[in-house]
Amino acid sequence: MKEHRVALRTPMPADEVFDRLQHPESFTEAGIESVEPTAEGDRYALRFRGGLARWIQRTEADHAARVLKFDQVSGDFVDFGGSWEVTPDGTGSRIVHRVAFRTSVPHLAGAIEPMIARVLLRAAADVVSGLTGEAEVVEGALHDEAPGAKPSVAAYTAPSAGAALEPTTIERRPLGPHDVGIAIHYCGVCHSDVHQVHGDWGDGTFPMVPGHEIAGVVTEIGADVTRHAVGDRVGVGVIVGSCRDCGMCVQGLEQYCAKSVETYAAIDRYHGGEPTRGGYSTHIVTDEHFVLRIPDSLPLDQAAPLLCAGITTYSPLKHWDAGPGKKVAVLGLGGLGHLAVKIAHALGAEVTVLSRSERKKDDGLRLGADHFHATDDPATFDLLAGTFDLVVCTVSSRLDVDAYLSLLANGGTMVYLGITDEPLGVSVFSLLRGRTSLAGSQIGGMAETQEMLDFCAEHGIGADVEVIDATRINEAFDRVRHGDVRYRFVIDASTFES
Amino acid sequence: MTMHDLLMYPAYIDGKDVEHPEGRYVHTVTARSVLEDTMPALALKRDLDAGLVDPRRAGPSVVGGCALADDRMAADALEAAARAAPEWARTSLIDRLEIGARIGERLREKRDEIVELLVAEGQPRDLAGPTLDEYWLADFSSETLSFCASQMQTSKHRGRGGHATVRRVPDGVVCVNPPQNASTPNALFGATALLAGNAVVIRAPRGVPLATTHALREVVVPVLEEAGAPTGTLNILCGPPMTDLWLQSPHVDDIVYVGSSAKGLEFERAAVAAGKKPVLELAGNDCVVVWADADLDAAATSITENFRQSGQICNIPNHVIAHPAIADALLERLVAIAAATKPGYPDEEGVVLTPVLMAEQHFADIADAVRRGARLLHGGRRLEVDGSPSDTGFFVEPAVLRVDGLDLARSTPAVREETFSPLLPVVVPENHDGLFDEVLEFVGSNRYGLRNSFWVEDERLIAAITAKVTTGGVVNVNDSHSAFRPFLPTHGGTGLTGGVFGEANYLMLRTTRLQGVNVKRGGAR
Repeated sequence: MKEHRVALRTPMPADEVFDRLQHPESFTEAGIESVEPTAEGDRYALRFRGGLARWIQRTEADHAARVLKFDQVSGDFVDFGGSWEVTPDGTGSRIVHRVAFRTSVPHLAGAIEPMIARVLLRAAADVVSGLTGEAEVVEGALHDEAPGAKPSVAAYTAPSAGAALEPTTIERRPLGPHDVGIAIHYCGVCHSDVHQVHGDWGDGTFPMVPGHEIAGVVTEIGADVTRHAVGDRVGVGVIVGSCRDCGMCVQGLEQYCAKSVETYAAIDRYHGGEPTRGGYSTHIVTDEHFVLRIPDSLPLDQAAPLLCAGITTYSPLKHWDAGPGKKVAVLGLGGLGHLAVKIAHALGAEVTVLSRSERKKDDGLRLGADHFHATDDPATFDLLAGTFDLVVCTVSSRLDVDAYLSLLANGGTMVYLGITDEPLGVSVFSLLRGRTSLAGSQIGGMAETQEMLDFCAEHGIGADVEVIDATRINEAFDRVRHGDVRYRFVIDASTFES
Repeated sequence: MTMHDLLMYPAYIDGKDVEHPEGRYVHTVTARSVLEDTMPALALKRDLDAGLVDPRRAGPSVVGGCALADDRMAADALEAAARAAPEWARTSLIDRLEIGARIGERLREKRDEIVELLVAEGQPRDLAGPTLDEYWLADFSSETLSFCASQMQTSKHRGRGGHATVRRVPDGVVCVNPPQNASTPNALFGATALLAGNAVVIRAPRGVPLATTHALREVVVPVLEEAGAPTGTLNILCGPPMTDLWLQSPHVDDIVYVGSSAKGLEFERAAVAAGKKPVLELAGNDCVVVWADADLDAAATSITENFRQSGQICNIPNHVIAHPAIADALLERLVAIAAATKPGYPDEEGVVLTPVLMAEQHFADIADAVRRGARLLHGGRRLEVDGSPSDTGFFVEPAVLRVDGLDLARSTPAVREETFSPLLPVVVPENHDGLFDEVLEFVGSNRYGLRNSFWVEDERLIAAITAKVTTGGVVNVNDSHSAFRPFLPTHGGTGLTGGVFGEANYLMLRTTRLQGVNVKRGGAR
């Protein structure tokens, strides 16, 4: 006979649960029509498909072991029997219910018996819940495997360009073999989110669910996933797909793959051409290659912005060898800038913050800068002329590029990270004079992003964050537009569910 | 309670009715009563089989019963068959063919009463009648019988009155083990081994013995008796699986085994080791290819034969390859037919779905396919007999899956393995110049080999199919996938379907062996 079982956990102590299980006349849960004690044993009537299953069972108790064993004396089954077993589990208890039976119609047994088993186990689970007030099924399938309906999850969406974000529900794709299902804990508010939702870059697709600074915990993995396990702390950044085959991908520079897919507002060519939806949501499903490990020492809220702002600054600092003996200027002290300062300092470079005013001087020095200069003071440009090996530009406003190029030492580089959609006005002489370079850089590859997370964990680097509820997203967008945040808003994803 | 007439069949061994020593019977309680109120019906069946209730007083839900065979009876049947075999083998081929034709006629006459019993056992009425019809139309048709006869003996006259003959001689005693999902048709198919000159033992499965026993007793036995066949030529008994006994018995030559591929191939090895010829009818994972120029309505009707008996028959379509140009239009038709296919009681008109024995596997197959990237277009729920969704129902909604690309199809078990439930994965490959050849390759790489169907008009492609598709028992072009046609084989196949010796299966051919006979006059030169 095939044994069917269900295991439950409840906060009620084992002795009390065992005691209650010995009074079946108090079982009045949904599936049970009646239980009556008789001379022969307890007479059960259980609802089954509009009719009843009836039997009388005799029960024996082993008090020391907290085990009840029961067998059919007479009834509808050919054979029927089982047990209750209660064991202490911390201050509560674990209850295992086992049942085995045989019926008399062999050619339909395959259809009938699993359904009888399901009804018996559900009744047992209901009995435990009823007796203990609170019980959780920890083992045993009381339902069929989900037939792959697309899971529906809570999210915040912008219905059209420039519109305010509002709560909604969206469908995530069912888990593919290489997919990781992630419960999002935090999602950072990147300046790009504000631009994209506003339609500034002209290529947005709406309704849009933004968010590409995602930190959470793995809840599910596909059949072929090898890099992540359920319970892992993970992050998802700016891209969720690439061709994995081109020269860029092969070198680990997936961010420069011509066929890369962004985390939101992109067409996911690798998953049926559906639009991607970002991290302003409770859950996301992502190919494991684009899911990063977040080391245990990094708090998830502080880690979230590293997935975009962190790697965006780390990658160029590494590429242009920021380190001991190198002078690095960080232009702009916002979401990107504050991480650029922390990381450049941790890499061993001599770091100067160039900020519009003296307002953030204390912060700049606290974050690890060696020097702080205000760019609204014209003397700054004379003072620092020819100084820096690297100027990291994190602002997205219009600049006098020639003036900043003049700050570069011979052979130095000014690298653009902040995005402005206006053309830069640059005099070629500014580049010729010191053989300087004007460059750009865009996030980082997956391997480098992982390296950045590990580096940040090692050096205790997280973003300085202001955690907000989802209801404050629109307010946060306004404040980002006005530079009024120190230094990153991070949304508590549990608040997406209204 | 009134008494009513029941069909009670003792075992039929050596031409005699034989009862179990303790008078035990397995009783048939109607599938309707089990579906209506399950637990009391199960309890009644148990009490009937235990002899605690008089079946004549048990009410209309009891239709009859078959005597249970014990080990002694099972052994006696083999001995009786062995005794009858030599004499029966000497009956002329002409006489045996005549017997075959008469079995066909009698099957036609007894059709409706057999259908009633099949319905009582749970076969939908809409399927039971047509299935029986296909047997007299195909296996017992003059075209099939004369084709088999033409293979049985060919003689060449040699000089001085000598002759050279190549003939097929019967193996001796053939035991037949029909499956529960299609017991009666496979028992009738098994009876065709008689026509080759073999003595036959057929075991009716305990779950559904009554229609099978009735068909054999009312159709085949009278024809044999009228023809004066020796007693023991056909023996019929109901009992637990007897393959171990058959493998050990010196009386047995061939065993016709119908069942799953895994168990069947294991059985094949055991049979060979025991020196018995295994004739296997195992799982199929049939493919239907629908090309861009196909008649989509006809193709959709053929494909949805998958829903018959909830997909729990072997010769139905198991997966589809749809040309991308017509995939959406075909899927639309399939989903519409799936949505209109309802469960019900087997005696009701228009019902083809039956309770699903491996429903958990059905849902696991769907979930797995979806995880791999397939899309579920319809289905995915359990249903009650009245068609309402219920997660304790015995039926499942027919499911249609869309699988994009042959690569995904190759790695998806719901496509590559037999699924025994109403589940239709429809593979939509990407179009390219070599697509037809790639599809033929895909069909050829199927590890199973029962049937494959093509819906295509282009004559050049039809020529390519006949030239290149050499696996499987039957290749259909533009016809019902599962229909049995006169002359064409109804059973058999290659790969996991037929085992090492698998091929299209006419039992007259498969339970005989080739022999050359050389008669010379005037001595060797």
